[in-house]
Amino acid sequence: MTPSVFDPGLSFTAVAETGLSEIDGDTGEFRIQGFEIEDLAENAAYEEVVWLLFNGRLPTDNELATFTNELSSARSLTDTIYSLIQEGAEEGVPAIDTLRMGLGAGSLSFDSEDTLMATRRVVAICPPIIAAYWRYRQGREPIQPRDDLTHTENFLYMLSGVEPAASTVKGLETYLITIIEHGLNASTFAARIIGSTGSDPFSAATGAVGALKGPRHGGALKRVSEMLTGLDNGTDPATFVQERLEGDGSFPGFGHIVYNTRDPRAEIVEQAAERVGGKQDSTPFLRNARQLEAVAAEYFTEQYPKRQLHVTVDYYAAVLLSELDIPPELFTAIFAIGRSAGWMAHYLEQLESETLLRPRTRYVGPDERSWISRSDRFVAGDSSPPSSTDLKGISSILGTLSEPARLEISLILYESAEPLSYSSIRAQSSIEDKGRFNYHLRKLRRIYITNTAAGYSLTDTGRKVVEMLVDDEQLLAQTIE
Amino acid sequence: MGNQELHRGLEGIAVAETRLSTIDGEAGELSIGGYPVAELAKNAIYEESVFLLFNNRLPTKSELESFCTELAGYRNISTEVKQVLRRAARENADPMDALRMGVAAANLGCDVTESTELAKRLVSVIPTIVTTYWRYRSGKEPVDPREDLGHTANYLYMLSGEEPDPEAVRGLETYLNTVVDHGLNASTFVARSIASSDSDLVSAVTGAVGSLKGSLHGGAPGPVLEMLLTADDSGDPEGYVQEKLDSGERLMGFGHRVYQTRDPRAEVLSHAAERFYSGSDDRAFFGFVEEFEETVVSRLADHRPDRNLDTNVEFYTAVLLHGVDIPRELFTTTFAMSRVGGWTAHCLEQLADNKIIRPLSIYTGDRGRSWTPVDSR
Repeated sequence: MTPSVFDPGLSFTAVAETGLSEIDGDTGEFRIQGFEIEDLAENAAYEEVVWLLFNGRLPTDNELATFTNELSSARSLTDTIYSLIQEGAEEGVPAIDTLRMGLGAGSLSFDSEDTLMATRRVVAICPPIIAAYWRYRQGREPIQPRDDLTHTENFLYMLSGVEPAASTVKGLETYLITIIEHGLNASTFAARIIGSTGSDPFSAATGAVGALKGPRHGGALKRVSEMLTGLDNGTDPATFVQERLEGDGSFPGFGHIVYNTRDPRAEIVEQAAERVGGKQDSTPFLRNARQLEAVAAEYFTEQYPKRQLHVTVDYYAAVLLSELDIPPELFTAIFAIGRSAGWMAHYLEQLESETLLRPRTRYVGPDERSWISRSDRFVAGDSSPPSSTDLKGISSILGTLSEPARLEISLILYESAEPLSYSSIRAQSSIEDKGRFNYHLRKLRRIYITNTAAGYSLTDTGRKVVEMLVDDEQLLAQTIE
Repeated sequence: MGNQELHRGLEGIAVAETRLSTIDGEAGELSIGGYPVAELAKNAIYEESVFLLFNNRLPTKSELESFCTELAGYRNISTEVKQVLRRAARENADPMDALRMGVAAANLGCDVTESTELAKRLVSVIPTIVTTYWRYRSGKEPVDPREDLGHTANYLYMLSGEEPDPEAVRGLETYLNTVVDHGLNASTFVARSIASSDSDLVSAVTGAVGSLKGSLHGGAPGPVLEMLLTADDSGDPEGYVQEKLDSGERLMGFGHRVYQTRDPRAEVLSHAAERFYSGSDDRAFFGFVEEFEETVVSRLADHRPDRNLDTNVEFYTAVLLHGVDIPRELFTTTFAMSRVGGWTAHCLEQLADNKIIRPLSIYTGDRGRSWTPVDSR
């Protein structure tokens, strides 16, 4: 076997060449096909940027008109899909799951075998699926799209049933363009892996929506919105920041994985929110958000001077979408409306490269075992205990704990009511060497501790073991005396 | 950033630690949950293999019974999903598209959110989706699942409407165990990537189904069967092979990107097929298959001495599934029905120790462009 590099998040590994966009995380710049994102957001229509992603240049008047027609003719959904959406709405399924269901069935009654047409279809049907879902949730009938309206207008129209104001359309369109594409984030990468097998656009888009749903990805918008809504009632921002960070430690909308600066897209969306609100800084929501950003930024600079924790696009996107009177339940799904074009462009790029993505694993499971017949298997409570040869696995699991540093880490986690971040365990532990600390932390993972979005915590097994150690009558008390 | 190396297919990169399966491509060995694939495949029932993947050990008798009961409780699909499948059947949609539609909506009518429960739901619901679609496509009404039948028997029952022959159940069960997991192939990798954002298992498995559909992914042994039936009909298998080689066409079912030997799963499945066919009316077909395999392997060795073109898993998959009466249109969906055990187990593993999968890319496009209004383009 060729020795392999272990990179679990692939954060050091480039997997594709792309002509679609370029991120400079150090200078805080982002360009799509060579155009500054600010330039596109200010000037373009959404359809134009989709065309740019698909074709590598801006469309002429004619090309744009043809493309707009293509999208219109790909927009209608069959009754079967409407029933599916209605059932989703009635069962209280979230919008993003309903989008997955709708896109999953998006190939129904669409008679084109053509891959390019199918990518258009994906972009075209996200808005009607989401709008129909919301109408059903309100107990109303969905509204059919209108061929004479643009992509963005149509969505707002299908949502409310009335033709939207130009300023609302412009506000939403700015958002959709700003987030249309952003390199190999988890959802786009999912679309590319699916494309790497030669599969179809509906499959790729459905997979991407699934990845976007995760709290570590698209879920941030909703959390920002909840946070900012909680701030609405005149709380002092400084107290608010402190309470949150000392509470569960989360502060959504801050710290983007690829930017060491303020996310350049945040600025665009912030200004759009200002324009929608009318005169500068007049709405309380935007004003509160800005105050909170200033206080939080200061707090982060003081507390974590080495880390770059700045505002992300999601932060002001939540403000903008609220200003546009879009229900927070639809935020993540609306992100998908914008990003669907980026997914499809990446899908096509991967398809053309004809390269299957098939990484390796590092095996950490049991050594070879031999079959035990059903009647010979032992778990606690059964009558006949197994022999020592069958207990090697357990004995090595117990062996993991027989190391003071690991016991210390387990006790730190036990003492905390909430999951802890990596840095906070480090800060509390007496292990100074970072390499040694990481090593022991890793050894404890899986069996004794887990790492989720919220941070590290003990597993059930880990908790039981530590409980046994710290109980008054038990081991720790006796040895420490 | 400037001199970033490109790892196009991620071939030398390990993206996850796993305890689920390990492959030794040089020695031609595969072990699942620590058991050599041959041991697991011939001894286990499918539910037992899934329990092993979820819990890292084999279940006791009573654990297995309750696990089977839990799984059987998750088989039903909602009316709306049936409508979708009927529509897909009427439009002659690809079975994998129909499966994607059904899995994407597997949450309907199933009120669970725990990952471990969703994993069971997904394992159980795929046979119902596949057979419902297939019954509609054959112009028949779907058959409701029967809780008193095991996973594998129930699948064959929903397909034909009749209680299956135990030998067919055993044959299919061996197949389902054999392909239940196989490292980070593209579909499993998609499932893990989706789960890496802390998304749910329905989303992850939907993505996996979507990637399995692609022609570069394995698990599509339909063409192998076409080849075998044509070669058998021709009455001159040697001539058939020669003709293919002369015209530079591929012989399906040989060569694997990971194994440099005969695929260990081909070994397991050829035994299972031998056992099944020896008790069936079609013994002669199996005799032909064995001869044909030998001819092709030796001819390929002469023809392409530089490459390892030994028998892969798909060859005997086609033979075995054909034997137990799975329509060839459903070969890939039947593969998905097995692999969902691996997909869900990988998701649970990913979620237990999660890190978002977000690779880098290298920009090769234009730079420094600025906006031109539409009338001056």
